[in-house]
Amino acid sequence: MLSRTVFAYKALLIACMVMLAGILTGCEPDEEPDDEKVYPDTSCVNCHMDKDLLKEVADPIEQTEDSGEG
Amino acid sequence: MTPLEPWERVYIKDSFMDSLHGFIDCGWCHEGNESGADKDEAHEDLVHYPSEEARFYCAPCHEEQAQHYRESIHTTQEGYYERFELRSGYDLRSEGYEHALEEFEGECGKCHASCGQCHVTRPVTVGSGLNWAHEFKKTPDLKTNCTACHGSRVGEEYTGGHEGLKTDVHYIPGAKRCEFCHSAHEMHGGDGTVLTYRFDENNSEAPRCETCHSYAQESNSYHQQHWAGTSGVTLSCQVCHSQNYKNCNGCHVGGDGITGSSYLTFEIGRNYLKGNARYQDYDYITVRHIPIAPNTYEPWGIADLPNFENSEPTWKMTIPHNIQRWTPQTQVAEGAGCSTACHNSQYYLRASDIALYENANYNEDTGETGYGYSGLTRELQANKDVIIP
Repeated sequence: MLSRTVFAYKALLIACMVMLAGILTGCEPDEEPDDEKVYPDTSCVNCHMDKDLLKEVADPIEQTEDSGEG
Repeated sequence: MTPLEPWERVYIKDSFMDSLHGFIDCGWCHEGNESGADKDEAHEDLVHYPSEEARFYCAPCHEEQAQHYRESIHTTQEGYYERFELRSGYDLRSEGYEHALEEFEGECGKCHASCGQCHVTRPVTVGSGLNWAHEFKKTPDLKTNCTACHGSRVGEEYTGGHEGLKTDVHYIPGAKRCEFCHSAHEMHGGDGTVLTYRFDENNSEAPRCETCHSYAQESNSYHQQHWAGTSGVTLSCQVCHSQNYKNCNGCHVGGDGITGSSYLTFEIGRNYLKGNARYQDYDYITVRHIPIAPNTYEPWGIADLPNFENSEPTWKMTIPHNIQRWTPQTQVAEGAGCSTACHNSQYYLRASDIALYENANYNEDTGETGYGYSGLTRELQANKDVIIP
């Protein structure tokens, strides 16, 4: 009976160690920290914050220095 | 003002996403189709300028501003319509003038300003585009917002853009800007009073020099005589303290623009607004020639303005934005009186000046005239209350 109880404690201890190891491992970053902020993943933001893409697709429009009024 | 590259006009940066407006879903203001597979699909039913419908898109958070803004002259451009009506004799917005109204709104009417054109983008009249990568600014930028529209006269005068003339003494780049005198309350339509134009006597929000300078009313004999009025003749502040300013001739719709000439001059006229509750306290004011002509609207099929000479002057009250303490009017020889510079001087707007400047080919460098002007009689009549005999 005692040996069973000791076995159960040992098993619980091992399980805890495995879980702890798992948690610690899981907390470790897989990659280098990314300083860039993450914004809502909408199609608007994806495109309008992509300078290179906008340079390809943005429509040119006539602009003037000032309106000549006032 | 440096034009924006096409991509810059629609580019959004972190600064916007981190701002309060950046937390609002794009579609809440711009509609469109956020799940669209490509640009065309995503831009279906897109609202480019939400604040054109401020009562829908801005009012939920900015109720007071959105309400008053609808009645401000920046939005209504009521002055444009009223001046047209006075000179033509009919209201463009009445039945039977749909074609003219369409033309008017397409050309003159596009100068109106929405919330966004001051606080988010550049004005549409200069091509628009996001001013600060979509970040909203409480105070519009002097160069890319205010003088983008008010540039050729106010902007150049204020910032010293005319060769040989000084900046306005109030202009300190990066410090004192338009809002120093023109409050948000004024820009947003004040207390909601509907104004007919900027010199409307009910325009209680219009800046007054006296607000800051009232202490100087008795500071010298000139102020005592012409400000406090001990001489019996009062002058607007600009009569003594502004420099030459820009005047134009012959504006025509339909894309031609100014077909006459532009010239720098300084003219003192009689205050034709005397009796107007807000401007009645001056006998003489600075006047600027505006480029209206009897045939300004000819390309729209409006060959003539029948009330041209019996409605509004063409040399109109002006508030030049190039104030200096010492000007040719205030600098007199040691021991001399002000009369040596001003009284009966070249600065008075005379009938002969009307003839000189009204010539569409007037050359400010050479002073050459001689091309004649068929509308001179009408110009003289239109300015009969302004000309100093």
